[in-house]
Amino acid sequence: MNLSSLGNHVERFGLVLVWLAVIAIFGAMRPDTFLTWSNFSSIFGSEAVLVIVTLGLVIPLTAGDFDLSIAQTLTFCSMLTGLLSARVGIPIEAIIPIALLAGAAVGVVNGAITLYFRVHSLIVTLGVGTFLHGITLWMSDSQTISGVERALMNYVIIYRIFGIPVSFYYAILLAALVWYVLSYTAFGQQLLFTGRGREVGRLSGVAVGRVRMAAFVASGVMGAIAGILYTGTTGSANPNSGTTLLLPAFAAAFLGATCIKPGRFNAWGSVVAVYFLVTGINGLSVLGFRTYVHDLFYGGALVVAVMVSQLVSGRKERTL
Amino acid sequence: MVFRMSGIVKRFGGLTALDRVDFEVAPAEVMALVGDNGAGKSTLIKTMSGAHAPDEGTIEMEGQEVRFRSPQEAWDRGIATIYQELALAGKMTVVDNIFLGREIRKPILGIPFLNRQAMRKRTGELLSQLDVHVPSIDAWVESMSGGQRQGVAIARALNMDARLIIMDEPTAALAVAEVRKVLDFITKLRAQGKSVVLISHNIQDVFEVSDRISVMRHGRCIAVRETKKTTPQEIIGLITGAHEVRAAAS
Repeated sequence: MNLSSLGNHVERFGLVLVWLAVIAIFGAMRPDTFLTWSNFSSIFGSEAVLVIVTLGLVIPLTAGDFDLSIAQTLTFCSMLTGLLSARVGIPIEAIIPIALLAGAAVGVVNGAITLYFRVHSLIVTLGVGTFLHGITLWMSDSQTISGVERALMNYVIIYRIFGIPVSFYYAILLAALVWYVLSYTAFGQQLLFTGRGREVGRLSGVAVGRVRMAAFVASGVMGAIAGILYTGTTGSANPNSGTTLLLPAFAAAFLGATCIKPGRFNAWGSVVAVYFLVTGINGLSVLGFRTYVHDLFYGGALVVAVMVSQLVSGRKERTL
Repeated sequence: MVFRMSGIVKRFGGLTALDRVDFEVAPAEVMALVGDNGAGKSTLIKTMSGAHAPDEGTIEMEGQEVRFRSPQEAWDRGIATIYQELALAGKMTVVDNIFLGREIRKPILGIPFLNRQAMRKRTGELLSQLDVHVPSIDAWVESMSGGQRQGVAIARALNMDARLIIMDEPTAALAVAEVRKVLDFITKLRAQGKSVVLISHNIQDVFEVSDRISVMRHGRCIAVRETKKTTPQEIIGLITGAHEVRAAAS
């Protein structure tokens, strides 16, 4: 292995190494509380929702679009699941397709407004997300809805494989799916061209409008899946559940773009980034820091991630 | 004729950009398209490539009437357009650019995967066939010279099985040695039986490689000449309208 390929490996797995270092430091400081399997298995299970939101963001980001509505899609679909189960009494297996369709519908609205009126997706999805939150508060009367069918919790957080709640494995399966689509399909190539050279793509025969629409629908469906799992994780639907997830998901998506496949939003990088961020926060709270570390950590990580990814792409341009 | 446009009209609001344009290209022919800025060359090639739909007139490709609603449909019909600035995505590799829309797949356990190995191999073949040398087929296109990019864009057109290749100012802003190379590409394409539309401001280049020359002026195609039977003076006169002045004087 020569020096430059060693450098490439360090770059690709840098964040993994930092993550392991963070685990080692907190582990040395609090071996009895931090460094336990039960602490880690609960992190892996409960943060699966954040992994899925991040994966959802990565798809439109690759095509050059932002989906700021994804966290509110999560909240809306979580509330829809909670109400239909606890208040209406529909069985959970019938609710899941309804919630997924609702998420897809949000994606269609985002895509249609962005594409037809040629408005920047940042603005469209900010508005749509806030509007969705309004609907969520209205239909729940701003109350947390509990009494969701027990089966949902069983299949999300109660059942475990190797001690880790099954929700973690759903997130990993979805990461594998996103990885496959982005790296190994023609559609993935079209997404990338749409993001990196939209006009070139259009003139070269890529149906960029359809590609962007598909990306919005995919992120809407991912938001819905995350919403269903969120309800299953807590057994209830909170009308403000998604609000605190948007920034962490963006931080993880940009941080994830600095590793595994540096310079590209990618699935496994996102997974690593989510677990790096939540490990850091978990460790700091074990040490006794209060909730303000969330904002410090996530906000700081987003800014640092954007700076690093800018450096990475700048150097690529110079050396390649 | 491989390609024929008859009576093409394109209006933008009150402005008539193309006024009943007739244009045709024969098999294995290099047809140059010349004209001053604003004469309608860009609008005409955008109509050929499916980026604009004409308001009136017909387009025939290999004897069949076609109507392009998108650039994709033109590519599918075998018309490749190499735009000056928008032919390739700069932040993508040579391989990615050449295989956009024509990816090679290989099933693994019944699931289709992109076959990067096969695409890289084919890229090497295409580039050596055209005698294009790039630093690395995995490098971003934006790191390459204008001549190398033209080569990559032509390789892409060949990979798409294009029969008609439209080149928009391929030699503009190129170093002398690179101009030579791009003109060689064009003769190679003709030797392979491809038809080429060459849009250029450089009359010298046009006379060097073209078989015929179409001249546009004020949104109309005012003349078609065989390159061997005309002179640069005549073509420049047609472009600038000097012939109109002479005709009015006599």
